[in-house]
Amino acid sequence: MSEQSQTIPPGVLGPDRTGAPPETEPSHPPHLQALLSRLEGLAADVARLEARLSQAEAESRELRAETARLDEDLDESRRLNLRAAELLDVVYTELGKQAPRGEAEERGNGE
Amino acid sequence: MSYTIHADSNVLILTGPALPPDHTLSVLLGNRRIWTFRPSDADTSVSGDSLTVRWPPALARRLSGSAELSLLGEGRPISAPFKVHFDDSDADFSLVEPGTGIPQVINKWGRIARSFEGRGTALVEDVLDQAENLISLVRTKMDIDLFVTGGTLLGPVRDGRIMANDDDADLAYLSAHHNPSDIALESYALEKMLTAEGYETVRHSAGHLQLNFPGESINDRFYIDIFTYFVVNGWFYGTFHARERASDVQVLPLRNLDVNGRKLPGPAEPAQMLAAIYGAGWSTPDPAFRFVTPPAARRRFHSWLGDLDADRENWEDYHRAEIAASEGPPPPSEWAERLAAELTPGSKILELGCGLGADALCFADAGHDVYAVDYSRPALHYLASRTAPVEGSLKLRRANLNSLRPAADVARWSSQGGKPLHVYARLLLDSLTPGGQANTLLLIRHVLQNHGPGSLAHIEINPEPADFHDAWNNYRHVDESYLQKQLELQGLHIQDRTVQRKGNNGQPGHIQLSINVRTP
Repeated sequence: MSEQSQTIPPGVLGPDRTGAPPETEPSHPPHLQALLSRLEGLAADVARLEARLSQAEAESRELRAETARLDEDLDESRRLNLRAAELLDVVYTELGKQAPRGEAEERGNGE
Repeated sequence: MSYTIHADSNVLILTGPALPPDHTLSVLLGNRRIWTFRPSDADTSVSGDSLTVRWPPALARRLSGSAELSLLGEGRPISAPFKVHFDDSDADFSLVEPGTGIPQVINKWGRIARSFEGRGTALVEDVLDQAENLISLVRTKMDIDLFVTGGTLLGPVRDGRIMANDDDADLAYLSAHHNPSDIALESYALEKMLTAEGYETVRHSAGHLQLNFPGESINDRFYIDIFTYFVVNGWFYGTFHARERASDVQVLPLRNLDVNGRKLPGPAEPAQMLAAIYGAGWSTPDPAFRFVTPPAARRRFHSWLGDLDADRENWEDYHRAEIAASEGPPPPSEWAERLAAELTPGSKILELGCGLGADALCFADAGHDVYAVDYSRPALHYLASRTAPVEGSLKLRRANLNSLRPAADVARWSSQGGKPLHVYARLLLDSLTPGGQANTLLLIRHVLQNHGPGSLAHIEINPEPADFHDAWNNYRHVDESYLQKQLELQGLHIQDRTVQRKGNNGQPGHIQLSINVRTP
């Protein structure tokens, strides 16, 4: 925008805030008038694109944050998967150690 | 090309024509090849016509004394040999394994490892004998088919025989399971079978088991790795490095390969397996080869299978060096001496992370009943060989507290007897992974609860950053606020705390925080 404001006359892309007294509107040749109108349209397009870009950047930031969060969840889920296997192994090992004693007790009760 | 070389205990500086980043450089110290690398793989910086290479951390902390240094580029001398003085020591630099004197080098993982260059064939034959026994045993007992992989596959396929510098045998099996939990359970079952058969096992992860030979010794003669390979969601995973489309790596049916004159099972398509492990250039020998695990693979292996090692190998090397240099038992800490005197004689103490056992022996000699735990095999072997305590008792257990399974085993093992328990963990949490810290605090809570009123945990940490072991993977300070939060999560309360500054020879030293912890 700063580059455009150097090449386009004050007031074309918005209110003139230079503080200079308003100049008498010169009469432009038709082709220059058409060009100025086109520029006004382009400026509006640029403003719309800028707003969209800003929105897209915000959405991109949100998506990156969400991806990072999901990545952490995924890693945690995988870590818990391993933890579950470790716990299952501890349980099976302990049950395996208790089994002979349990069977002996059952035999003892039966006798 | 010829270069002017400068070296000290931190860096090697080459001044001369620019080197291509993939140029292979070999550093010879004392006329022996110690480290082969490419500038692109090393920690380097360029200034003008000088290339500064920082030594691998594992090597830097071993550089002492002086040595003749020369440099090879692509196997040819590129500098005149010269004498480098790493420090004020008058000794000649020597990179050998403490205890055995076996020459060491920097290996493809950037770690200090044994060099097998010039070794006899008897060792290779012993390794292959044991590999054959294992293949047969695992097939008979578990209906699992092991096959040769890694270096044990590469050498025979590429060179016609086992590589001269290989330091182990690599075996693997393709898991029948596709869920990481089931894959882990299968490997745990394999570990239990092998332990029951008398093998000494070390678990690196839920998919990587190591068997040490002869076992029960301060120094291993050799080891055999058993890797779990598996397929999840159409991807082949070759623990702990390879991740390829399953269609690109055909493992089954296994087929016999000639390995130094023996017929050993190998994967269906050895070239595909070697490409998966070593990359497309596997068939060209590369002395500077380094494993670079793709992030997507590393992340999956790490979270699915865990990483239990942390600094275990560093601690074991450290303990071997201490044992070799020792002229007597190390002195106990002041804290242990004070605690040993304060506790009622006959108190029950569980020491977690006992190392070489100076404090454990101090407690036992003061008449206490001590249960001592560590994951360092040489430390425990050394401690077991020491004179039995005069007054109390000393029981030893090997357990890696980075894993929940052995932590649970320690809880059961130490829960014999009804009297109050004192858990003693000096600078242990600093050495554990975050998961290991959580396991340990959970263990402490359970054993304190199980032993009832009067039970206390005595925990010491370094709460501030300090330059202890920069070559180590995991050893670092423990932030006090983090520890407090973890204690709260376990329902543990700090009863009191003491801060001491530990310095030597008038130096400021570092802070150690001692806390006594109890259950509500």
